[in-house]
Amino acid sequence: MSIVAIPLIGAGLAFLAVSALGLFRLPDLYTRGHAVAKSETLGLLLIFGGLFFHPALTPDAAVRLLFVLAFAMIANPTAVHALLRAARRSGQRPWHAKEGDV
Amino acid sequence: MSMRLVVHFLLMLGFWLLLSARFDPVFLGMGIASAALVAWLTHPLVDRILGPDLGGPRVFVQRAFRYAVYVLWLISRIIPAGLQVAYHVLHPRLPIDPGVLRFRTTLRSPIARSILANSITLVPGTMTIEVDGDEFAVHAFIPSAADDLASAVLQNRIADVFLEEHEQAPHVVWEPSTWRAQP
Repeated sequence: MSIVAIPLIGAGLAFLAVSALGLFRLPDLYTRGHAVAKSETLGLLLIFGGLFFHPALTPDAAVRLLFVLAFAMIANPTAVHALLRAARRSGQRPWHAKEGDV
Repeated sequence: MSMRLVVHFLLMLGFWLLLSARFDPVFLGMGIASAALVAWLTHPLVDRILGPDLGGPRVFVQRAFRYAVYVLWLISRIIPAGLQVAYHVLHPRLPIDPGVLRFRTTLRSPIARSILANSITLVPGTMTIEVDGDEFAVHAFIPSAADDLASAVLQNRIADVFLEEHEQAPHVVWEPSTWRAQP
Protein backbone atom coordinates (compact mmCIF):
# COMPACT_ATOMS: atom_id res chain seq x y z
CA MET A 1 0.00 0.00 0.00
CA SER A 2 2.74 2.47 0.93
CA ILE A 3 4.35 1.78 -2.43
CA VAL A 4 1.42 3.57 -4.07
CA ALA A 5 0.80 6.12 -1.31
CA ILE A 6 4.29 7.58 -0.98
CA PRO A 7 4.88 8.48 -4.68
CA LEU A 8 1.42 10.03 -4.92
CA ILE A 9 1.93 12.13 -1.80
CA GLY A 10 5.44 13.06 -2.97
CA ALA A 11 4.13 14.19 -6.36
CA GLY A 12 1.39 16.18 -4.61
CA LEU A 13 3.99 17.96 -2.46
CA ALA A 14 6.02 18.72 -5.61
CA PHE A 15 3.01 20.44 -7.18
CA LEU A 16 2.39 22.44 -4.01
CA ALA A 17 6.05 23.54 -4.18
CA VAL A 18 5.61 24.56 -7.84
CA SER A 19 2.53 26.52 -6.85
CA ALA A 20 4.52 28.40 -4.20
CA LEU A 21 7.41 28.99 -6.61
CA GLY A 22 4.92 30.31 -9.16
CA LEU A 23 3.82 32.98 -6.69
CA PHE A 24 7.39 34.30 -6.74
CA ARG A 25 8.19 33.92 -10.42
CA LEU A 26 4.97 34.93 -12.18
CA PRO A 27 4.57 38.62 -13.01
CA ASP A 28 1.07 39.61 -11.81
CA LEU A 29 -1.93 38.61 -9.74
CA TYR A 30 -3.76 37.04 -12.68
CA THR A 31 -0.94 34.71 -13.69
CA ARG A 32 -0.26 33.86 -10.04
CA GLY A 33 -3.89 32.84 -9.80
CA HIS A 34 -3.14 30.09 -12.33
CA ALA A 35 -0.42 28.73 -10.05
CA VAL A 36 -2.82 28.60 -7.11
CA ALA A 37 -5.93 27.39 -8.94
CA LYS A 38 -4.31 24.55 -10.88
CA SER A 39 -1.02 23.43 -9.36
CA GLU A 40 -2.44 23.59 -5.87
CA THR A 41 -5.69 21.80 -6.70
CA LEU A 42 -3.71 19.06 -8.45
CA GLY A 43 -1.32 18.88 -5.49
CA LEU A 44 -4.22 18.42 -3.08
CA LEU A 45 -5.80 15.83 -5.38
CA LEU A 46 -2.57 13.78 -5.45
CA ILE A 47 -2.00 14.03 -1.70
CA PHE A 48 -5.55 12.90 -1.00
CA GLY A 49 -5.22 10.18 -3.63
CA GLY A 50 -2.11 8.97 -1.78
CA LEU A 51 -3.85 9.09 1.58
CA PHE A 52 -6.53 6.76 0.22
CA PHE A 53 -3.86 4.08 -0.07
CA HIS A 54 -2.49 4.71 3.40
CA PRO A 55 -2.57 1.47 5.43
CA ALA A 56 -3.99 3.17 8.54
CA LEU A 57 -7.03 4.60 6.71
CA THR A 58 -10.40 3.65 8.22
CA PRO A 59 -13.60 3.67 6.10
CA ASP A 60 -15.17 6.63 7.93
CA ALA A 61 -12.00 8.66 7.49
CA ALA A 62 -12.05 7.81 3.78
CA VAL A 63 -15.57 9.24 3.43
CA ARG A 64 -14.50 12.40 5.23
CA LEU A 65 -11.45 12.71 2.99
CA LEU A 66 -13.75 12.51 -0.06
CA PHE A 67 -15.86 15.36 1.28
CA VAL A 68 -12.82 17.53 2.00
CA LEU A 69 -11.54 16.82 -1.51
CA ALA A 70 -14.89 17.75 -3.07
CA PHE A 71 -14.90 20.94 -1.01
CA ALA A 72 -11.36 21.83 -2.12
CA MET A 73 -12.27 21.30 -5.77
CA ILE A 74 -15.15 23.76 -5.45
CA ALA A 75 -13.65 26.25 -3.00
CA ASN A 76 -10.17 26.64 -4.52
CA PRO A 77 -11.27 27.89 -7.99
CA THR A 78 -14.03 29.95 -6.41
CA ALA A 79 -11.62 31.75 -4.07
CA VAL A 80 -9.23 32.47 -6.95
CA HIS A 81 -12.13 33.76 -9.03
CA ALA A 82 -13.19 36.09 -6.19
CA LEU A 83 -9.64 37.50 -5.99
CA LEU A 84 -9.37 38.00 -9.76
CA ARG A 85 -12.77 39.66 -9.98
CA ALA A 86 -11.88 42.05 -7.17
CA ALA A 87 -8.59 42.86 -8.91
CA ARG A 88 -10.32 43.55 -12.23
CA ARG A 89 -13.02 45.66 -10.67
CA SER A 90 -10.42 47.79 -8.90
CA GLY A 91 -8.76 48.45 -12.27
CA GLN A 92 -5.75 46.10 -12.05
CA ARG A 93 -4.29 45.61 -15.56
CA PRO A 94 -3.16 42.14 -16.59
CA TRP A 95 0.51 41.72 -17.45
CA HIS A 96 1.23 41.20 -21.15
CA ALA A 97 4.30 39.59 -22.68
CA LYS A 98 4.61 42.00 -25.59
CA GLU A 99 4.42 45.41 -24.00
CA GLY A 100 6.97 44.54 -21.31
CA ASP A 101 6.78 45.87 -17.76
CA VAL A 102 4.34 48.71 -17.21
CA MET B 1 -41.77 25.48 5.32
CA SER B 2 -41.23 24.07 1.98
CA MET B 3 -40.44 20.46 1.35
CA ARG B 4 -37.11 21.51 -0.09
CA LEU B 5 -36.10 23.28 3.13
CA VAL B 6 -36.78 20.09 5.10
CA VAL B 7 -34.70 18.00 2.71
CA HIS B 8 -31.93 20.60 2.87
CA PHE B 9 -31.99 20.47 6.69
CA LEU B 10 -31.86 16.67 6.72
CA LEU B 11 -28.91 16.64 4.31
CA MET B 12 -27.03 19.15 6.47
CA LEU B 13 -27.79 17.10 9.59
CA GLY B 14 -26.65 13.91 7.85
CA PHE B 15 -23.41 15.64 6.86
CA TRP B 16 -22.87 16.76 10.46
CA LEU B 17 -23.44 13.22 11.78
CA LEU B 18 -21.07 11.85 9.15
CA LEU B 19 -18.30 14.22 10.21
CA SER B 20 -18.84 14.05 13.98
CA ALA B 21 -19.93 10.40 14.32
CA ARG B 22 -21.07 11.18 17.88
CA PHE B 23 -24.61 10.69 19.09
CA ASP B 24 -24.65 12.01 22.68
CA PRO B 25 -27.30 14.70 23.36
CA VAL B 26 -24.90 17.67 23.45
CA PHE B 27 -23.36 16.93 20.05
CA LEU B 28 -26.71 15.95 18.55
CA GLY B 29 -28.25 19.20 19.84
CA MET B 30 -25.43 21.31 18.40
CA GLY B 31 -25.74 19.43 15.12
CA ILE B 32 -29.48 20.04 14.86
CA ALA B 33 -29.04 23.73 15.72
CA SER B 34 -26.25 24.26 13.17
CA ALA B 35 -27.99 22.27 10.45
CA ALA B 36 -31.16 24.32 10.95
CA LEU B 37 -29.23 27.61 10.91
CA VAL B 38 -27.25 26.71 7.78
CA ALA B 39 -30.34 25.42 5.95
CA TRP B 40 -32.29 28.56 6.83
CA LEU B 41 -29.45 30.93 5.86
CA THR B 42 -28.56 29.25 2.56
CA HIS B 43 -31.93 28.13 1.20
CA PRO B 44 -32.49 31.33 -0.85
CA LEU B 45 -29.13 30.68 -2.54
CA VAL B 46 -29.94 27.02 -3.17
CA ASP B 47 -33.36 27.97 -4.57
CA ARG B 48 -31.75 30.45 -6.93
CA ILE B 49 -29.10 28.04 -8.15
CA LEU B 50 -31.31 24.97 -8.57
CA GLY B 51 -34.25 26.90 -10.00
CA PRO B 52 -37.93 26.29 -9.26
CA ASP B 53 -38.14 22.83 -10.81
CA LEU B 54 -35.72 19.91 -10.55
CA GLY B 55 -37.69 17.93 -13.14
CA GLY B 56 -38.74 14.96 -10.99
CA PRO B 57 -36.69 12.13 -9.49
CA ARG B 58 -35.83 10.42 -12.79
CA VAL B 59 -34.35 13.51 -14.39
CA PHE B 60 -32.60 14.34 -11.11
CA VAL B 61 -30.89 10.94 -10.93
CA GLN B 62 -29.98 11.18 -14.62
CA ARG B 63 -28.41 14.60 -14.09
CA ALA B 64 -26.56 13.44 -10.96
CA PHE B 65 -25.11 10.47 -12.86
CA ARG B 66 -24.06 12.62 -15.82
CA TYR B 67 -22.54 15.13 -13.42
CA ALA B 68 -20.48 12.40 -11.71
CA VAL B 69 -19.11 11.37 -15.13
CA TYR B 70 -18.39 15.02 -15.86
CA VAL B 71 -16.46 15.43 -12.58
CA LEU B 72 -14.28 12.43 -13.46
CA TRP B 73 -13.54 14.04 -16.84
CA LEU B 74 -12.76 17.32 -15.06
CA ILE B 75 -10.28 15.56 -12.75
CA SER B 76 -8.58 14.09 -15.82
CA ARG B 77 -8.20 17.69 -17.12
CA ILE B 78 -6.71 19.01 -13.87
CA ILE B 79 -3.65 16.80 -14.37
CA PRO B 80 -2.52 18.43 -17.67
CA ALA B 81 -3.50 21.80 -16.17
CA GLY B 82 -1.13 21.33 -13.25
CA LEU B 83 1.64 19.97 -15.50
CA GLN B 84 1.29 22.95 -17.86
CA VAL B 85 1.58 25.46 -15.00
CA ALA B 86 4.58 23.51 -13.65
CA TYR B 87 6.24 23.60 -17.09
CA HIS B 88 5.84 27.36 -17.42
CA VAL B 89 6.82 28.14 -13.83
CA LEU B 90 9.93 25.93 -13.89
CA HIS B 91 11.02 27.00 -17.40
CA PRO B 92 14.04 29.36 -17.09
CA ARG B 93 12.58 31.91 -19.55
CA LEU B 94 9.02 31.81 -18.13
CA PRO B 95 7.41 31.48 -21.61
CA ILE B 96 3.94 32.81 -20.80
CA ASP B 97 1.84 35.02 -23.07
CA PRO B 98 -1.26 35.88 -21.03
CA GLY B 99 -4.33 37.73 -22.23
CA VAL B 100 -7.99 38.33 -21.39
CA LEU B 101 -10.83 37.21 -23.63
CA ARG B 102 -14.58 37.60 -23.53
CA PHE B 103 -17.37 35.44 -24.90
CA ARG B 104 -21.06 34.74 -24.38
CA THR B 105 -22.62 31.38 -23.58
CA THR B 106 -26.06 30.05 -24.37
CA LEU B 107 -26.14 27.92 -21.20
CA ARG B 108 -29.28 29.11 -19.44
CA SER B 109 -29.51 27.73 -15.90
CA PRO B 110 -27.52 29.46 -13.14
CA ILE B 111 -26.04 26.15 -11.95
CA ALA B 112 -24.78 25.30 -15.46
CA ARG B 113 -23.13 28.73 -15.66
CA SER B 114 -21.59 28.31 -12.19
CA ILE B 115 -20.15 24.95 -13.18
CA LEU B 116 -18.82 26.43 -16.43
CA ALA B 117 -17.08 29.20 -14.46
CA ASN B 118 -15.60 26.66 -12.03
CA SER B 119 -14.51 24.33 -14.84
CA ILE B 120 -12.84 27.11 -16.85
CA THR B 121 -10.60 27.70 -13.83
CA LEU B 122 -9.72 24.00 -13.48
CA VAL B 123 -9.00 23.10 -17.13
CA PRO B 124 -5.53 23.92 -18.51
CA GLY B 125 -4.54 27.53 -19.05
CA THR B 126 -7.74 29.47 -18.37
CA MET B 127 -9.36 31.16 -15.37
CA THR B 128 -12.71 32.88 -14.99
CA ILE B 129 -12.32 36.54 -14.02
CA GLU B 130 -15.87 37.85 -14.33
CA VAL B 131 -19.33 36.46 -15.04
CA ASP B 132 -22.01 38.98 -15.97
CA GLY B 133 -25.22 37.22 -17.03
CA ASP B 134 -24.22 35.21 -20.10
CA GLU B 135 -20.94 37.08 -20.64
CA PHE B 136 -17.70 35.57 -19.32
CA ALA B 137 -14.32 37.27 -19.02
CA VAL B 138 -11.50 34.73 -18.92
CA HIS B 139 -7.76 35.06 -18.29
CA ALA B 140 -5.67 32.75 -20.49
CA PHE B 141 -2.09 31.72 -19.66
CA ILE B 142 -1.20 31.21 -23.33
CA PRO B 143 -3.48 32.03 -26.31
CA SER B 144 -4.01 28.38 -27.34
CA ALA B 145 -5.47 27.65 -23.90
CA ALA B 146 -8.72 29.24 -25.07
CA ASP B 147 -9.32 26.63 -27.81
CA ASP B 148 -11.71 24.50 -25.72
CA LEU B 149 -13.84 27.58 -25.02
CA ALA B 150 -13.66 28.97 -28.53
CA SER B 151 -14.86 25.64 -29.94
CA ALA B 152 -17.56 25.31 -27.23
CA VAL B 153 -16.28 21.84 -26.20
CA LEU B 154 -16.49 22.69 -22.52
CA GLN B 155 -19.87 24.44 -22.84
CA ASN B 156 -21.39 21.45 -24.65
CA ARG B 157 -20.16 18.94 -22.08
CA ILE B 158 -21.98 20.95 -19.42
CA ALA B 159 -25.03 21.32 -21.69
CA ASP B 160 -25.12 17.49 -21.84
CA VAL B 161 -25.17 17.23 -18.04
CA PHE B 162 -28.10 19.63 -17.69
CA LEU B 163 -29.93 18.41 -20.77
CA GLU B 164 -29.59 21.78 -22.48
CA GLU B 165 -29.03 22.36 -26.20
CA HIS B 166 -25.55 22.42 -27.71
CA GLU B 167 -24.24 25.79 -28.81
CA GLN B 168 -22.32 27.10 -31.80
CA ALA B 169 -18.69 28.13 -31.35
CA PRO B 170 -18.93 31.48 -29.54
CA HIS B 171 -17.49 34.72 -30.85
CA VAL B 172 -14.32 35.22 -28.78
CA VAL B 173 -13.00 38.77 -28.28
CA TRP B 174 -9.47 39.30 -26.98
CA GLU B 175 -9.05 42.44 -24.93
CA PRO B 176 -6.18 44.63 -26.20
CA SER B 177 -3.23 44.83 -23.85
CA THR B 178 -3.97 48.51 -23.25
CA TRP B 179 -7.53 47.86 -22.08
CA ARG B 180 -8.26 48.93 -18.52
CA ALA B 181 -11.32 48.09 -16.43
CA GLN B 182 -13.21 51.08 -15.08
CA PRO B 183 -13.10 50.96 -11.28
